[in-house]
Amino acid sequence: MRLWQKIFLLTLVLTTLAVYGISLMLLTRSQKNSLLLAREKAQALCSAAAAELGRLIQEERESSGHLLMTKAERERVFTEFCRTQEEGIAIRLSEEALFCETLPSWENQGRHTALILGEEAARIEVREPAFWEGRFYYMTLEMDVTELTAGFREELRFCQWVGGAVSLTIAFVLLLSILWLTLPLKRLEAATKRIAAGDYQYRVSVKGHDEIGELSRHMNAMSEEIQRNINQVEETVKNRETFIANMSHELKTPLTSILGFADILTIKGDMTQQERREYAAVIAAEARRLKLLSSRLMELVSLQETELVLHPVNLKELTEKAVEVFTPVCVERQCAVRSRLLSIWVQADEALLMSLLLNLLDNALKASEPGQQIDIIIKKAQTEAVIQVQDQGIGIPRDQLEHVTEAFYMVDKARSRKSGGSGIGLSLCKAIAQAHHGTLEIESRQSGGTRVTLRLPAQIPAEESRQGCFDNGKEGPPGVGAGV
Amino acid sequence: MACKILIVEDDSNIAKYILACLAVGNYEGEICEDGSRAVEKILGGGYDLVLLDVMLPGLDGFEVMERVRECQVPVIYLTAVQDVASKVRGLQSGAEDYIVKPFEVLELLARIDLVMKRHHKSETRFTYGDILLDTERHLVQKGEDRVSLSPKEFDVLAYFIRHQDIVISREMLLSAVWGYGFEGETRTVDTHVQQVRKKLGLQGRLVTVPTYGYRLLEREE
Repeated sequence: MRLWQKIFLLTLVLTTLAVYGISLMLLTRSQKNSLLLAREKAQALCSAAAAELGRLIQEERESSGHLLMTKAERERVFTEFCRTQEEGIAIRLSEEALFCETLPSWENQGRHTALILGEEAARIEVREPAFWEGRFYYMTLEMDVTELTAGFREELRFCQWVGGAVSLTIAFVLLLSILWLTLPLKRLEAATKRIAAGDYQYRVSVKGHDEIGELSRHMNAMSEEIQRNINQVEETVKNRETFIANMSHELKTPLTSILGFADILTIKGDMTQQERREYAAVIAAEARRLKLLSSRLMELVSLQETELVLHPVNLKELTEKAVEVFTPVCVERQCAVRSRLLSIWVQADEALLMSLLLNLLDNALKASEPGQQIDIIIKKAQTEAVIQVQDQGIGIPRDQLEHVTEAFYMVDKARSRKSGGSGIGLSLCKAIAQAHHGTLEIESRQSGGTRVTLRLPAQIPAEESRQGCFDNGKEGPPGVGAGV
Repeated sequence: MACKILIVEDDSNIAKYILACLAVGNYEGEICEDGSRAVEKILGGGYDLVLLDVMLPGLDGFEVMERVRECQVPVIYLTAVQDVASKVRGLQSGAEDYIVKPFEVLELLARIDLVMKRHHKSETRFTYGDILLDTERHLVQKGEDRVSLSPKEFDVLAYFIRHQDIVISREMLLSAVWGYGFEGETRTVDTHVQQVRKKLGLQGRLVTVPTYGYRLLEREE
């Protein structure tokens, strides 16, 4: 049963009961009052009739000159009298009291009045005791009140009709107002249906500040949250799909060359030494590419799964080491590395941070032309250690900047392949930075060089850092602001 | 006259590999590493077939296909993208075939061959020394004499002549001549090869490669 149906039925029953009950009560009261009036009237009539009869008897006796009237005379007077009266009056001799020493038992009670309700008629009966001519009589007056009770019944019926009509009207008006009040609920219901069917962008229009308005607001908030979550899930799935598609492509490309040249080596009958060597070299190069790719992928995957154990590391020492490793390659490409390093301690996994630095330096070198310079700077910004690697190379187009940390994204595929790139260096760097609670920012201008900024939380030289330096067995970390 | 094939492929090693494959099949190949340059080249004409990679810098393979469609040059996609949607899209765009990397030399050649046949660009007459083979008329001549071969023997000979100096495994020959569905033994291949060798006097030219297959030595002209 719908809410409006329930409310409708409930009000209908309640108002019917109330109207009916009240009218019944009022009617009963008024009937009681009118019956009381009728009774008093009957009693008064009866008393008057008794007095009148008494006077008549006396007159008759005096005119007859007898001391006592005979029975026949009495009867005649009584009959005469009864005929002249409007109401039904009967006079009976109280036999039992004839020789009675005491008065009849009802004498004590005096007048006796009763309401007699028949099937169709109703009457009031008044019995008045009287003492005439040395005898006890009682005079009975009957008053017909059928009209009164019939009127009561009629009025009751009328009240029922009116009560029913009033109840129905009230219920109907209430029904309309309920329907009007529950209209927003219906809208909400339709909205939940739409949202449940997958239309997460749908919003309920919020009106007013009542409970329904509140509910609408909460529902909008809920669907917004759902939409956000779903978008996030979809994004994740899409990213994963792209990742897998890219990975499969990146694996297949070297595999095609490896398998292909192996096939040629197998089926080709005659081949010059030079050809053979060339094919074998391609196979070896592509296999190396696969090896690099798989190890990078492993790092990336394991980074996402494991919690790092961080130790205090002196960024300056680590960077110097990285530059040292890197210098021979740089010299080969005729590039120079210029470093301006501040000694700062950070909590880090040394091997991973080293890999990050080498990756950044490697990227900078790949982007650089011979003769250009690469800058590596360590500085302090409030509580952060800032490492910047800057080159003067080809740069990254603005529209591709946000994609470069996506796995397998290559700005220039051919160039990247030629320089031995796997396409996941920067996404690995970003993952490492995040694992160290740091951030990686990339600024670039096309053909204006690229600057990669790594921010890591710097270690405050306190008790724990000193503890750390004992663990490492190295020179203790310097105070804030100290360094080269 | 050798067919000229344009290889549109951005990975230099794979391009080199495809070029080597085409050399095996006696096709002439030309490498192009960039989508938009490929469009120019194809519209310039002069190619019998295009081998098109899908993931390309500049224009991708599908876009290249769209722009050169009216040229009527047969195109085979050659790509590492192997989901069904891409395959359907590729074939619907009017390509002749869709080959997923990695692929083998003979597979590529067989597919190229099929496309060439469909476009009547393949040769129907082959010679090997004094042997003349006409696939259209199903005719084999040694010198002036006609040699009578069974249909399968004819196909075996044709396959060898078209893949001279290539070591062909029995399985490969089986699937090329008898079809993939054929579940015969490799002994069937041996018998047919022996018949061909005997009927055409190819002893010493059609040699057995131990544990692998056969090879028809290239004829020094």
